[in-house]
Amino acid sequence: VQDQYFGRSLLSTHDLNASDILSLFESALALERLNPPKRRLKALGTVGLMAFFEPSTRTRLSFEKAGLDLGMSWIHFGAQGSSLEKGESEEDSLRVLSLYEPHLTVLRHAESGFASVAARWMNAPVINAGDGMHEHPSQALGDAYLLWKKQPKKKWRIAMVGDVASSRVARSLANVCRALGYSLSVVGQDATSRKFAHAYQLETNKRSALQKAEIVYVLRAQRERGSAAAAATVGMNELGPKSLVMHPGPVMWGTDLSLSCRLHLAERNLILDQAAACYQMRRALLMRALGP
Amino acid sequence: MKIFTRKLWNPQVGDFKPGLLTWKKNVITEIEFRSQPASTDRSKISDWGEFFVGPSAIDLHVHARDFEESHKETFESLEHQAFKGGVQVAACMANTRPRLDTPTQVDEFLKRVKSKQVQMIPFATVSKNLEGQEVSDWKELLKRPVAGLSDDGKPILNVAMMKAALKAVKKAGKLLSLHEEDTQESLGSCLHDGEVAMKRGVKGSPASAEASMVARDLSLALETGGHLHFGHLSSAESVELLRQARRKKISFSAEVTPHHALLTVDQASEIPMASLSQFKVCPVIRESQDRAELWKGLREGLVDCFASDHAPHSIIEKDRPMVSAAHGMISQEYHFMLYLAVREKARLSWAQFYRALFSRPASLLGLKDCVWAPGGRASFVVFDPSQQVNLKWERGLSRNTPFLGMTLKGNLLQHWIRGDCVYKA
Repeated sequence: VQDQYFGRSLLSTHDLNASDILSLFESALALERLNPPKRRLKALGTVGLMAFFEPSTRTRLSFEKAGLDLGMSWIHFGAQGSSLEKGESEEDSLRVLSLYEPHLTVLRHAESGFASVAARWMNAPVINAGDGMHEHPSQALGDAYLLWKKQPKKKWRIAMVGDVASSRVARSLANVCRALGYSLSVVGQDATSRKFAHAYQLETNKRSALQKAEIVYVLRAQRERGSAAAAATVGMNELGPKSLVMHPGPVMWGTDLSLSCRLHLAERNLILDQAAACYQMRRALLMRALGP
Repeated sequence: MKIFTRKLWNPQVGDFKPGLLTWKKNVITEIEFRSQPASTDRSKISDWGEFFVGPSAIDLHVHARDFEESHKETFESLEHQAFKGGVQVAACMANTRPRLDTPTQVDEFLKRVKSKQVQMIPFATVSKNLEGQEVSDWKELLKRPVAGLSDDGKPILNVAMMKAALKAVKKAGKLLSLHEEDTQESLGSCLHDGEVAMKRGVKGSPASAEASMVARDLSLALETGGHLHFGHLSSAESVELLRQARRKKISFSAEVTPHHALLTVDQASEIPMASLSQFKVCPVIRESQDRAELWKGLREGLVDCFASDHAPHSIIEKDRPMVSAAHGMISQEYHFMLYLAVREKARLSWAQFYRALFSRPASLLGLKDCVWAPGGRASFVVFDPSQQVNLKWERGLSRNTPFLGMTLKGNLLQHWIRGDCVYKA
């Protein structure tokens, strides 16, 4: 019943199959091509609740702008300067905000699984904008949207390198790649990496893995999640001659990727294109949540 | 009262045999094994046919809550579940709020449970407020009818404190129940450290977080003497350490819980993210090889006590994302049924089953009248090991458990405590 009338929550990419994802791509593309005045009529009069319990710049602002493009308005809730500081529980806060009848909520929290639990407290759909180390669906879908736009039929070969263990992007990307039939491998040879064996292909030889990959997807060491993973700086000379480079940002140049990558990757650097694609994708996700 | 059943527990032969059980008021007066009741007194005997009759359980590890946490459990609700779960004696952990760390609080506990039919025996804390800093007043606390000392919920990280506690309980003839966890290593963890934790995006706790503390305490016991009682063991490594300890003649006993003996972390792989916190418990539920080793440990008698680690939490503490949800699950209401399932899975003999369920915990608590012989308490259960049962939530104040909805083979039909029937299915 909820689906029919209120659109749908997006809590995890695990729930999406290939046709769901492809229809999101089509929808994002259609919205991208629509002229702005018409686009603004798409969701005119709707209100979104932006509830961020963890700092964010690009995710929050891109969701907000994506909504404004569609004619949405936003109300904001942040951990700082809110009733949480007075000791109100997150559940009580969100239940109250839900009474203000937002048409959807975009939610970020430092705890894995928070969005899934919070969705039970809210009347309208919830879009998970990152929950701890668990998932970051809009990022992964945006990344895949970029690749799909480049070559819609291609089954991309992606190698992930960096702090996969703490990365919520990695978990979402794994589901999306599986659904789309892309090959995704993790580069690493420590004990932690071996625990990925079930979810990803594991490549123990970094050099050959990076050479083989069409996309080298670099992840930042998540210090804020207590990760002690050493940065595995990817250098220019490690990449295959045609490898494209992606990174969910923010990029620590010189740590995640070498400075020479910053200077010389040129059009093989897809990082800014990713940010743009994620922004476009978020329009489609908002429309999906708002429903027909 | 005198009953006849074709399946009366006979500890001498380690099996169920046709026999007569007689009790007067609250004490067993006679256990006689014979294939038919004598024809003369047949009218006075009630015939229980093919139902199994044997002693009910003694549970060494229960969180009774009550006091400031009466929204989770009260002594009354706990007793109500123990009736159905076939538990006659429950040793209750000291991490109540307020803690059982002063003689006054222990006395208050004892006063509250005095009239209960299920005997509830408190542990007192090792350290004040379980903080591991200052010791509580052991001398006074151990004079009381407590099970012993325990900081369960927290490990005893301070080595000097651990050694002193070992000596104190040895002198008093009581138990020191240990929660073995290197909290630095397990910090922030929700599941066993492995593929499932990785997949669900939560931190894992490795087996070494437990085993390293078990190893430390075994070496301290070797040095100081004294008896170690390991609470809720979870890992294969810990069982292997016990195997070595037995060769060194270190005195110890060890518990297994129903969740560690029946579940594996793989079962947390597909649970919806929003309900995953039901699986959160400390120590974490590990892999199938750990469970297999716990079963082996039970068969070898290294792990020699069944204990529920019944830990009620309301939806306020439990219905949360896993990271900030409380640890623990309830099982008191299903205690006997769950261990019948453990017996089956671990391929335990009935003798091994009753040793872990009843006689070993009884002797550890020094309960001399908890024996299956004349003079013993007339506390027993009537059960049918072949009847299927679906685990439903009926009696507690909390419902945090992954066991709900599970179908088990073996149903408890009646529970008698000291000659009173306290539960009938």
